[in-house]
Amino acid sequence: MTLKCMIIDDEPNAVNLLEVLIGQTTNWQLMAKCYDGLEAMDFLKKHQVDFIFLDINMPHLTGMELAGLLPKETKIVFTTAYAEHAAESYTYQTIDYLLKPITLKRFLLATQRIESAFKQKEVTTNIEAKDESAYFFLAKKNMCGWLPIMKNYFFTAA
Amino acid sequence: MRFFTHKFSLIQLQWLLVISIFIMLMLSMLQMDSFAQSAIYAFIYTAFYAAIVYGNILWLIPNLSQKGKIVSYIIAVIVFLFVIGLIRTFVTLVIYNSFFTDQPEVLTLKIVGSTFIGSLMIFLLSFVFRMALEYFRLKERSDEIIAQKTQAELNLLKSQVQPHFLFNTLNNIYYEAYLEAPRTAVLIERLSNIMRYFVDESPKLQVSLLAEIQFLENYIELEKIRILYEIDCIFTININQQLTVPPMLLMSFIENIFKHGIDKSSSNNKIRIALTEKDNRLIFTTTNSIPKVTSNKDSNGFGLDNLRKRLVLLYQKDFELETCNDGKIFSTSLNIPLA
Repeated sequence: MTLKCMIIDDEPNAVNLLEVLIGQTTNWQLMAKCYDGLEAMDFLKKHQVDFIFLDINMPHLTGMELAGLLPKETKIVFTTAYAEHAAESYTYQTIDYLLKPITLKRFLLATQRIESAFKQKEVTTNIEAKDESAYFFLAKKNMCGWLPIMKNYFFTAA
Repeated sequence: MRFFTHKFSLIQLQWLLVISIFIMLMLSMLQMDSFAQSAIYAFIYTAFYAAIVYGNILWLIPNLSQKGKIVSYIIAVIVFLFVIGLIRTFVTLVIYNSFFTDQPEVLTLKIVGSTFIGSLMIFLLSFVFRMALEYFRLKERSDEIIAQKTQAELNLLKSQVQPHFLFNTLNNIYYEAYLEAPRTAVLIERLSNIMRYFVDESPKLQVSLLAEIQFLENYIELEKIRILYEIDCIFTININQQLTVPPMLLMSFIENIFKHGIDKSSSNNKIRIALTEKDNRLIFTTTNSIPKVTSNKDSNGFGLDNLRKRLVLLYQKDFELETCNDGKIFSTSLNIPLA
């Protein structure tokens, strides 16, 4: 599966590790490596990625702050030394939460989660496209009617 | 003011109560009788009241009532009160007749009967007293638990400064090792998982068995590489790993094996560990060969006292902890309720 990703982390070796793991175990396209949040914002203004490996504790702009500024379709995989941000992280479009040190074993599990998240998104988009008429019918008849579908979509994607 | 804020132990409180009753009785009797007479009588009354109350809550209730023998309990109470009443009447009468009067009174059934009724009142009060005692015991225990928790939180605060540095550094080292020495990378992974457990899991009151087992396995693997010869270690697990246990409880046993139960110069070290579930209880057993030359003489002591203290705090009497040493094999067995 070809996905476009980027890495944001202020520690060079943390970026290097993810780069090596991505290169060895996936077919993803690494679009950029950024060493702080502002640099990343700059890049994202001009380019689009499917998801971001995002460190939380960084100077200037923290990963959490950056997460709040990202477009909803840009998914996030947090990479951090702190376990205590896990609950908060899921208020954003988070696919996974990797605790440092990020080991090969854990990274492989993350790749499965990421790819299945995007596969399900593809499937859901297809279904939505096919059932367009039904979707509109429900939406017109009762505004609440579409809510369960959206909810379902959200959980499977997350 | 210190007197009011000072915390009394349960024993001190009971003495305080007994002494106040004694003083109250004595003051009420002083209006009619001499000082010596009041003091002696107050003392005798207090002693017999105490005998009734403690006889009931420490002897009759635990031995009969709580074992479901209600009929024998009621009979025992009647006999007990009657005997106590008889002795009390007799003693008071003898003292009264020999010291405080010229006209001796005789022991009649009427006097015994009235003291029996008086004893019955005290007997009924003993239930209230028992409830109060239970309440204070419970409070004492919860205070102790809260104090322990506060200590744990303080330790957590202390440790919170460094972990991110530690884990970021491990991440850096893992990267280097991953490229240069894959076998080292695996060891760093195990060490990191152990550190994760210490920082994130061990401050909790309960952790999942899954986390606890992974922690034990990582620990065993890291201990194994410290020893020249291969260790014959088998860890059998047959339990629902979603259930929870207090952290670091099972660890005490494993740590003990590697501290005292391994002969580093022998190739015949044998360890068996089993974690199973039966009737909603956790059963954890370990056996290990005992090294010929013991490095530490009290190898069976292994913080056993501390462990037992912690178990009492957690489960009161609802646990079993057994150790057995036959000179060649050291084995332990723990049985605790599962949550």
